[in-house]
Formats: sequence, structure tokens, C-alpha cells
Amino acid sequence: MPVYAGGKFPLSTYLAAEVRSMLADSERWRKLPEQVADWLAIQSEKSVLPKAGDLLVETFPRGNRHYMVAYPFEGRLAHQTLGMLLTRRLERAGAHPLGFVATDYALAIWAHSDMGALFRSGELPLSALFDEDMLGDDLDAWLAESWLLKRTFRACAVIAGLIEKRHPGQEKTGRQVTVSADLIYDVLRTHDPDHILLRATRADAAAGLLDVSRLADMLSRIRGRIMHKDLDRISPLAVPVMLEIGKERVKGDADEMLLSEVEEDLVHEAMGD
Amino acid sequence: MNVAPERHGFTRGSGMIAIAGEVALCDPRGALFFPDMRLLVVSDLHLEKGSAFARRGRLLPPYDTGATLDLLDTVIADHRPATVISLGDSFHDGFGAERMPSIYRDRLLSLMAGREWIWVAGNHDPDAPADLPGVVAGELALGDLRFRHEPLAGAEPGEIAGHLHPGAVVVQRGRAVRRRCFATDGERLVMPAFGAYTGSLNVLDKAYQGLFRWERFFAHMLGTNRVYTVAHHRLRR
Repeated sequence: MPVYAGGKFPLSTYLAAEVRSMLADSERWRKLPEQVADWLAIQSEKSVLPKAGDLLVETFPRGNRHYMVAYPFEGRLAHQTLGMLLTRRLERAGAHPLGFVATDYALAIWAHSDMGALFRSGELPLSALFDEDMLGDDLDAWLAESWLLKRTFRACAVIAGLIEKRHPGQEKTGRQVTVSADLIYDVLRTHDPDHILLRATRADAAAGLLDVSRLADMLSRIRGRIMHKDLDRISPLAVPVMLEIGKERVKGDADEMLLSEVEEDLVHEAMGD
Repeated sequence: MNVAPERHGFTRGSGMIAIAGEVALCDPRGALFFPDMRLLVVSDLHLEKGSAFARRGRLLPPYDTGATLDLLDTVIADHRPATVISLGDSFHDGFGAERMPSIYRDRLLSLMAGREWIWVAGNHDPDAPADLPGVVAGELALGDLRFRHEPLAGAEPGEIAGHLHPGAVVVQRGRAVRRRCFATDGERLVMPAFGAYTGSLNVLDKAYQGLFRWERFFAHMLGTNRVYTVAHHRLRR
């Protein structure tokens, strides 16, 4: 994978297309370092390598979670936006997504429910999950209640002097008399949606977090060209993105499900099971 | 006792508990309802907290009162209580009621109309709220129940208090979930804070020491549509 010092710039569209065509053409692997060529060979054996224009989506269980890894090669920002929109849809479909992580070339989402089974059974076809209409209502609705937007808001609120940043080692004292940025965000959004801090937050998010136009191009490119591979275990290609896991989490029904599980344990104890 | 709610005919998730023998419903919005007495209890509304901060130069958005009243409105509409007890810190400071804009005052008055309303004094609002109807009390006894703002260490069974803003954390499948909660050992109870700008203090904090019989302690954590009952040993800091 191409890496730059700093590593934060998304892959350019040209470079991304080149990477995709390199992966698709086993003839060209010979020019790659031996370990990389081997890695790709093992991938094509254990799973599959996507054709240049296709999107590969792998699903597999690991631990007590189910994972879905997609390889759009569109850069971290576009993947992050895609991750946020897909987790919304998965939440609606009842897959209880727990979190996701985006890298420059892949996106991993993990959930309580078996997403591979949902795709296979046709309950949630992949073509519907990756439909371009997510950039309409879903994007708007997501923007309105996003915790990622809340995080951006927190930065804006700190700059505006509205809240103070807590530093490591500084303990909270007594009852929380400070007001959390989330609470302010919710109240402002309800009563003053055009507030200057919210406008600044949206502007920051659009520039820094979204890359919507690139995502739109990708979604139209892959229409009808999604390849789903349901695996028993993690594939070689998924390893790097899986190493990034633990960075983002989804708030939603999954939290309620966890609470319900804890409560269930209590009932079993009480009944002496 | 709420050790095993099912054994007492309460279904899981209904939020029904017993405090010193009185049956009560933990509403997931953070209010406690005693159906037999048609009594609703809310605590720590902290109305006008936003404007209280603004007075001291911290300009927080002043809409918290509206948000809190909206929520209170839905709770009152659902339970139709004959009596409402606001268990102290109803206003964030002694001038809150005075400062409250007339639209909010009118809304509050309409919520109060036709029912008995008791303002229990809190540390933030020790005096009667200016110009508002309702009875002001330092403490209140109803049957075996005692309503006061600050819980007393070693208090009699039946104490219902607020003040501490209890919250609870559980860790399940490697994930921490934090919620406001009703904190109770079946004899006494500390109410979650109801106000829109109120945070929470973990029930494992030392501020709660000496309040509960921990072996019988349960946190009734506020979920979206129901409360979740969690025993002491499953809670984390």
C-alpha cells in the first residue's frame, strides 16, 4: 500500500484506481516485494481478489462478534463517511452494529448480529445496503444527530471558550457541575439550529470528515458490481484494517442490548441457574 | 424488596419496584411514580441552569429550561398525577424562578394547574421559588416515606432523596455503557437528576458510602424505553 509521511492524506483517485488494477492483475504482483505478492496469493486462495471495478465485501465471525470488511480503496475520509452511513442502515436492519474503522483502502464494521447471513438470505441485499440513496436522507439525518458531529462541536465549543478541555490527570471534582458539550449540542440543535457554532461545526465536518463527492462517485461505480464473500475466518486482506479496530464506536440499540444482557445475568443469578 | 422482581409478580423491564413496602414505577425518563397515591416525584430539575451560568459569564445556550419542561410535560401527561413532588434543586439558584422567562413560567404553571405541587427545598434553592404556587417544604413525610433533598447517612427506611445525581456504568462484551439511574436497596432510594443540563455521579463514588445495604443494592438504569435493573456487583467505576 502506498504510504506517505504523515499518512493522513487520502489516496488520490488516480492512485486508488492504479492500486485496484494492480490487485486485480496477478501478472503485476511480480513487481511487488515477495512478501506482498505472497500475501495477495494467499488472499486469492482463502477468499478472492476483486476485479478492478468491483467492490469486495467479506463477512466473517471473530470472537463473539461479526465483521464486515469492504475494500473500496477510496481514501480514509470517504470510508469514514461510508462507515457512518452503513452503520445507520445496519442499525435500522436490526444488525446491531457496534462500531467501525476506516483506513485508506478498507472499511471494517462489527456487529452483534451475523451480517453475512442477512446478506445471504436476501433480508438485507448488499445492493440495497450500498445504494446511492444513502447520500440523501440518511446523510442529512446522520448529520443531524451524529456523535461524530458532536465531537467536532466539542472542538468548536472549546475554541469559542464555551467549555474547557479536561487534561489527563485532572480529576473531576465532586458532582459534575460542568456542562457536557453533548448536552449543549442537543439543546442548540433543538432550539437554535442555525447557531454560529453549529454552522462552524457543519463546515468543519464537511471539510474534514466527509469527502461526500468521492463517496458518491464510488457508489455509482460499484452499482451491480459488489462481490460478497462469506468466510469462516478473517482473510489476509482484512488483517491490516482489523489491527486498527477499537477506534470508533456506534451509539444505538446495541447499548440497550448490552444493558439487557447484564440484566438477564441478574435474573439467572436470582433464579439460581 | 426488589431482589427478584419476578417473585413478587413484577415483570422484568416494567420498572416496578418496592420502597419500604410502597410500590413505585421507575419511569425511564427519570421520574418515580407511586400509582396508589397518584404521586409523581422528580428531582434536581435545575431549571434556569443555563442562565445561572450566563450570569457568571459562562454563556451556555439558555434553552435547558424548555427542554426540561418538555420532558416533564410528557411524564405528567402519561401518569396524570394528583400530586407532584419536586425533590429539591428545582431551580439552579435562588433567583431562577424570578429569572425564568414568561413563556416557561406559563408552561410550568399549566403543568401545575389542577394538581398539588410540593417544592422540597434543595441546596441550590433553599427558599420558596418566587411567585410560583405550590407548597414549600424542607422535608415531607407521606406514610412510611420520607422525602428530602439530601440523603442522610443512616436515615430511616423509606427515604426518597435526590441531590447526588446517580449514574451507573456496566461493562459488557468489552464495552462500557453509562446511564443515569435510580439507586436503591429496597429501603431507600436516590433519584436520578431530571434536568436537561445535569450530569451524573457514579453510584460507586464515595459520596454514596453509608447510604445503602450494598448486598441488596440495585441500579435501575435509564434506557430509551425502559429501565434496566443491575445488581451492585455488576457495576463499574
